[in-house]
Amino acid sequence: MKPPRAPLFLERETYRRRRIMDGARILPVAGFVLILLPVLWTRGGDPGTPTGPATGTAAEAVYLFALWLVLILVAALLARPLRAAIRRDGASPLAPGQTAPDGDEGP
Amino acid sequence: MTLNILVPAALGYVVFLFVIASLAETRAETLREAGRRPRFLRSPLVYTLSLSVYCTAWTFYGAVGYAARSGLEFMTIYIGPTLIFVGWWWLLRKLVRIGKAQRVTSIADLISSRYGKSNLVGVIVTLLAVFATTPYIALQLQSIALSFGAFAAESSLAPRQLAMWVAAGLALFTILFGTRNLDANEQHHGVVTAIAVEAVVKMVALLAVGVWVVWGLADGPSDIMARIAAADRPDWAIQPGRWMGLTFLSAVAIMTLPRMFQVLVVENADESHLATASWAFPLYLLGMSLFVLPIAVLGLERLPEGANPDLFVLTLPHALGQNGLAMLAFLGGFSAATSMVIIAAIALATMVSNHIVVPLWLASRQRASTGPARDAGDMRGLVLNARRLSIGVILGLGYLYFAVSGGSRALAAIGLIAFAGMAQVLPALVGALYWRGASRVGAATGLVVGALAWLYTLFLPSFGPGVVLGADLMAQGPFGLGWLRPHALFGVAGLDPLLHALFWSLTLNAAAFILGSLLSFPGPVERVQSAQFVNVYDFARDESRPGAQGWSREAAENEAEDLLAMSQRILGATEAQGFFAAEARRQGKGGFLPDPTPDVLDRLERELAGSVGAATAHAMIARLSRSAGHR
Repeated sequence: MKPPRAPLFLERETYRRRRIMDGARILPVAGFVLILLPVLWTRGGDPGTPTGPATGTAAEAVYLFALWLVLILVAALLARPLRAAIRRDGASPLAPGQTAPDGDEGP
Repeated sequence: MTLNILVPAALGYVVFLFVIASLAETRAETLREAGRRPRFLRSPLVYTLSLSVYCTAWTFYGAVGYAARSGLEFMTIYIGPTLIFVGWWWLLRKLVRIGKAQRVTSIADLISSRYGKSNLVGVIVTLLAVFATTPYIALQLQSIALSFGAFAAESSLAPRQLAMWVAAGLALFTILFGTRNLDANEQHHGVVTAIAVEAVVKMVALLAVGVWVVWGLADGPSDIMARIAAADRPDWAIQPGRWMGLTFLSAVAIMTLPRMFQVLVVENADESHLATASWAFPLYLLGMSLFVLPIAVLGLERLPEGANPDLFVLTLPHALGQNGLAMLAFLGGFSAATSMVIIAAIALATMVSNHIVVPLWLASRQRASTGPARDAGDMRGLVLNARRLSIGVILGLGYLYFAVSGGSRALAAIGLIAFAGMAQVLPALVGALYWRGASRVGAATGLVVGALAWLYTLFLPSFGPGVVLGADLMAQGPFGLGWLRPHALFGVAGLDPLLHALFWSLTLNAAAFILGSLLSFPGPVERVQSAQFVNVYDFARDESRPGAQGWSREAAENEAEDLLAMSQRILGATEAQGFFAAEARRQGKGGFLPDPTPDVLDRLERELAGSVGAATAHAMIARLSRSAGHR
């Protein structure tokens, strides 16, 4: 028997939604790693002697503020589907025993 | 400009806030009577703006001073919270969900509720919070005193006198607004709205100074970049340890600071507001940080050697004859300081009254329960008075810290002490959210060990050698035991004092927490609560939403449990359990939890009214049932 079309389409939606949630979880981790980058630059200069930063405060500031803005933009893009997910989750509470809406199960 | 202009301006500003708060409170009251929810007062925008209470005078004045001393390190304080907010789906969402499901009133309440509703744990967190917030309030008083001093060097008022008056004034404002009534949800519409307005004021003020610096004093962004490069110095190099440690610390602080928990969780009206705040709050922080380095660089360039960099935001426009801008900056700094003090005092007062005063009162009442005295309204008045008194005491402690520590240190250094203190809640908090096995014994041990380590390695030394800890002790350790030196515990001498304290306090704290949890055996309430916290999404009940479904079976059980817990707080455990067991028998159920039908609620309300007065009893029951869409 062929599976009906609508659920298949829904599955896709659900799949997409879960990957968006994954993205939201990984975002702060990625942000933390990228924020640590300037530390490596400085060390790459001349670690032994305190002669001064290798890259310079100005360049570091530009990098950090640009990164900050990117994090904000990505968070803003993710906010809408996630908010919709919360509303959906609230509209149809799961019976106990079913998987939590943020579970990793699914296709 | 002199005090003759500044004092009326500050007072006028406070009156303005007072009016805003009053209007918001009245509006919320009207809407509540009409059975509606205050939509605008509880919008994502107001929520995001109220979160900006994170940006205190430390941000407004201190960040520029921080940047002038250590370059980009000031950014860590804003990057940490940014990471937490863009990752809200992970942690903040769960925190807010639990906060709503358990009707948490403070961070101490959350921790105590998770660990078997243990008041011991609540008391520990409360004491820790009071200790940790004291330097933070002192910082605000110091910044206000400094900013007055910057304008009027010839003034007759000494900074200490000034700080005392400011503390008294803020205590009065907080008492008037934070303790007007015992709100059923521990929410303060008026205060939150006033805080949102203050958020706009401080943002506008700092941006105005920044724009003036970049396009007025300097010649646009590229010129600023060149000046920053020219002003670059070895001190400004990013120090890897502090960079990582402070980012971590500020990320923790955004969740654990009592005032942040208050606005983030307790005052939250709808979980989905977090989605907006996830990008809007980091954007606010970015706005507050954007011009910090330019202001610092221009301040170093234009102002005489030895000028306090913590005041550049104020003294730069003042010295260059921009009096209007200087006035705006002064009001911005004043906003930043007052908003922090108000919310922190409210949050701490709630903790002190709920975890220390009321339990003490109940205990003393139980001992004297033979007497016939059951005066109605007693509890309510007691709670409010306890809060008023706590607010006064907390501000008094802040003033005392300011007076003892001399009020001359860098603002950022003081703030970090407070951050590290509240960070001690982290292991217990993370355990509460993610580890079923975390137990009360573990949490209490971890908190005590962490708090003691923080006191010894950071807080007490912060008064300076010879004030609390003797200079000998600082240099050679207690009784000459070198491995116990406060800044080089167990021989770890290579770290800077803050990282050293953070490392040891959190390591010992987490170790004690884990060991205590592994070795102890949790009681029944603890186990129920651990499931409710860790698996909060499985319970999938979200009462914050209007028109939520009626009673589901497990929701009813939770509700009955909440009612029992609440009744125990007022009636005493034996009496409340007796009442509930009798009700359950009446319904023909086993155990001690009846279904909370309207009948049961009515009878319970009457029972409670006998102890705390009808209004409080009604509010308390209404709070439980209304939020569940029961009535």
